[in-house]
Amino acid sequence: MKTVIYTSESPLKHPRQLFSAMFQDIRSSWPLAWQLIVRDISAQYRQTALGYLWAVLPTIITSALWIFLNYSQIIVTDSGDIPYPVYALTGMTFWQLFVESLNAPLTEVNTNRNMLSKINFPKEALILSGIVQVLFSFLIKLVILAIMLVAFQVPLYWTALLVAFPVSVLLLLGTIIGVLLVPVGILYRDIQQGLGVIISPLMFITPVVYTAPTEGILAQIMLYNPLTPLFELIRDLLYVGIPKTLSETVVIFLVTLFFTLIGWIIYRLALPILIERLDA
Amino acid sequence: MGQPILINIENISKRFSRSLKHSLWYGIQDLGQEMLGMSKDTNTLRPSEFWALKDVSLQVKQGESIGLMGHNGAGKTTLLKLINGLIKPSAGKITVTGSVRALIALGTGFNPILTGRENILISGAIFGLSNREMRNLYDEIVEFSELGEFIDTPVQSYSSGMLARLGFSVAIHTWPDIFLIDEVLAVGDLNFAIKCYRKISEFRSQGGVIVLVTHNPYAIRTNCDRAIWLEHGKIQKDGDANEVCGAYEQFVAQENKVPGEKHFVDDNIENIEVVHPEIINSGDALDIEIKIRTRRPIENPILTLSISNVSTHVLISNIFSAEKTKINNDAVFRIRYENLNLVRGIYYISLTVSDTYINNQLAALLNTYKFEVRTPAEDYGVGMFKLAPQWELETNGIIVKKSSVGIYE
Repeated sequence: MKTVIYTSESPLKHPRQLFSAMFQDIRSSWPLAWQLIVRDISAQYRQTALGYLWAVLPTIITSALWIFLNYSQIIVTDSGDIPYPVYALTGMTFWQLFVESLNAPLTEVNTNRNMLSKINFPKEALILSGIVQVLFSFLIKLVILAIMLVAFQVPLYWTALLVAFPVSVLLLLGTIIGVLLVPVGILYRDIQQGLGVIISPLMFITPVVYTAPTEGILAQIMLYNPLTPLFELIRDLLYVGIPKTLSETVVIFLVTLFFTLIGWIIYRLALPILIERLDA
Repeated sequence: MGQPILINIENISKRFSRSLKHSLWYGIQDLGQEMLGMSKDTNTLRPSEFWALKDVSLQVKQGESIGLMGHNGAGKTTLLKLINGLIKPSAGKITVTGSVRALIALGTGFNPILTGRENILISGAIFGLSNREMRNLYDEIVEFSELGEFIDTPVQSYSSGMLARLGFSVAIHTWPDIFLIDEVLAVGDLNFAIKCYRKISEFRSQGGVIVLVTHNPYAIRTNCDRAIWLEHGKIQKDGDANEVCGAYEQFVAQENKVPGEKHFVDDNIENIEVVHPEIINSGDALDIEIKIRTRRPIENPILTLSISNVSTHVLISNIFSAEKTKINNDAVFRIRYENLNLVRGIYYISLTVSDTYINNQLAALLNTYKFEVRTPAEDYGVGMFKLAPQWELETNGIIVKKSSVGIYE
C-alpha cells in the first residue's frame, strides 16, 4: 500500500521527491483530465443551437471586421503575396489560440472550485484538460482556415508542417502565464476581469491582423513583444517558406520552458494554501 | 491488536484566520515561505488567528472505524481535510497508508446537462479510478443507484434524492482502504439508506477503515467502534464509541439551555414553586410538587403539566382537574410518575395553572425546570422511551429463546 506523509515542511526541501511526484501526478491525472475534457466539451455544445460553430464564430466575426476595414482602406497593411482575408483569418486563428490558452487555467480552476475544496485529485488534470480543450477549439478553427485557403487558392509551403512548433510555444506560453495568474486569480476575481480588458490592447501591439511597421513607437513596442516573432514565424512557415524568426522563437521556447517549471511548482505549492481559503 | 496503523496523526496543529483580509495576506506570506523552502512547524498565532486543531495525536489501525464528533467548529472537518491531504498542517505530521477516498460532497463534479451515465464516469475519475476500473464497476453502480431508465436523462432533471443516490453509489463502489465520510450517510429514502449502511458494514468487515464525521451519535454508535470527541481543536475524549457518545451527549445536554419562561397572567398569583429531583435513573419514579401561593381563591383549579426533551418535543402531557374544589393562600399539587421509562437525557417541565376552564390561564411556566434521566453507559439512548418488552423466538414449533421475566434483565 502506498504511504503518504503530510507535514508543514515545504516540498522544495526535497526536490527529488517533488519532481518525481510532479511527473507521477501528470501521468495519473490523464484519466481524470480526459473525463473533464469529455464533460466540458459535450456540455458546452449540447445546449446550443449552433453547436461547434461557437468555437469559430468569434474568430470569423472579428476577422470579417478587419477584412471590412481593410476593404474600406481604413487599415492598410502589407500582407505580402497572400490576400488580406486569408492573412487576417490566419492571424486571428492563432491569436485566439493564445487568448484561450491564457484564459483556460483560471477558468478551469474557478469552475471546479467545489471539486478542489472537497476532493484530493491531481491538480494537473485541470490544466491538462484546459490545454486539450483549447486545442480542440483550435482544430475547428483550422478547418475554417483550410476552407478559406481553398477558396482563395492560396498554396501552402511544405514548411507549414513545422507550424506545430510555434503553435506549441504559443500554447505553452499562454498556458503558463495563465497558470501563474491562478494563485492570485482564485482569490481575487479582478484577475479574470482584467485579463479580458488587457487582451484587446495586447492584440494591437502584436502583428495579428497587420504586419509590424518598420519605424515608429509601435515598431519599437512590437520589437520587444515576445509574441511578434511567433506570429511572424507562423505566417512565414505557412505562406513564405523561409523561417526568418526561428532563432528568436527557439529562445522564447526555452524561456517558456523554464517558466513552465517555475509556474508548475508555484501552482502545486499554492493550491493547498488556496483551498484552505476557498470556502472560508 | 497487531493490525497495521493506516492513519498516524502526530501532534497536528492547524491555524486559521478569522478575518478574510488577514487570511488572504497570510496566504501570500505562506506561499512565499513555501517557495523559499522556509515553511516549518509553527506554534505561534498571528493576529486574528486561532487554532482549528492544536496538538492532536491519534492512530487508526486497519479494520477500525472511528467517529469524529463535536460541536460546529471543533475541528472535525479540518482534521478530515488534513487526512485527505487537501490542506497542509501548520505543525505536526500525518502518515497515511493506503488509498483514501472522501465521501464529502456527493455528486461533486457532476455536470447538470450530462446524463447520469456520463456523470458516473466523471465522478469515478474524480475519485481517482481508471477508465477500466470504472467500466468494471459501471453496471453495479447503476443497479445500486436504482435510477432505472433515468440513468440516461440529464441529471438536472433529477430530484435531490436521486442525485444523492447517484453520488453515493459511485462513491461507495470506489472501495478504497480508507473512507472519509462527512455527514452524508442519510441519503435517499429509508430503503436506500439501509442499503448504504449494509454496504458500509460490508466495507468494514473486509478490513476497511472509516473515519466518520457527524453530529449524530446514533450514526457513530451503529457505524463505529471507536469515537473521538473534539472540542475547540483538542481531543476531549477518545475511546469506545458508546462511552464517548455517552459523555458527549451528557455534555451537550448540560450545555443545552432551552430558554425558560414564566408568565403570571393573574397578579393575584404570588408565586409558583416546583420541587423535583435533579437526577433520576430511567425507570425510577418521578415526584413533582407544585407549590402555589395565591392572594385570591381559585375555583376548580386545573393544572396541566408536560415533560419535553431538549429538542422541545413534548413526550408526556397530563391535565389534573380538581373540580368542585377551591384553593386559597397556599396549595400543593403532588404528582408522581411511577416507572418513568425515558431514555437518557435532559428533560424540561412546563406547567400551567387555570381557573375553572383550561383556557383561563392564571400562570404559565414554560421549560422552567429541568431534570436529568440517566441510564447505564451501554444504553444507546435512541428513541424516546426505554421499554423492555417480553419476547420469544420460535422455530419449527419450538421456542428457542425467550426473554427473562421482569422489566430489566
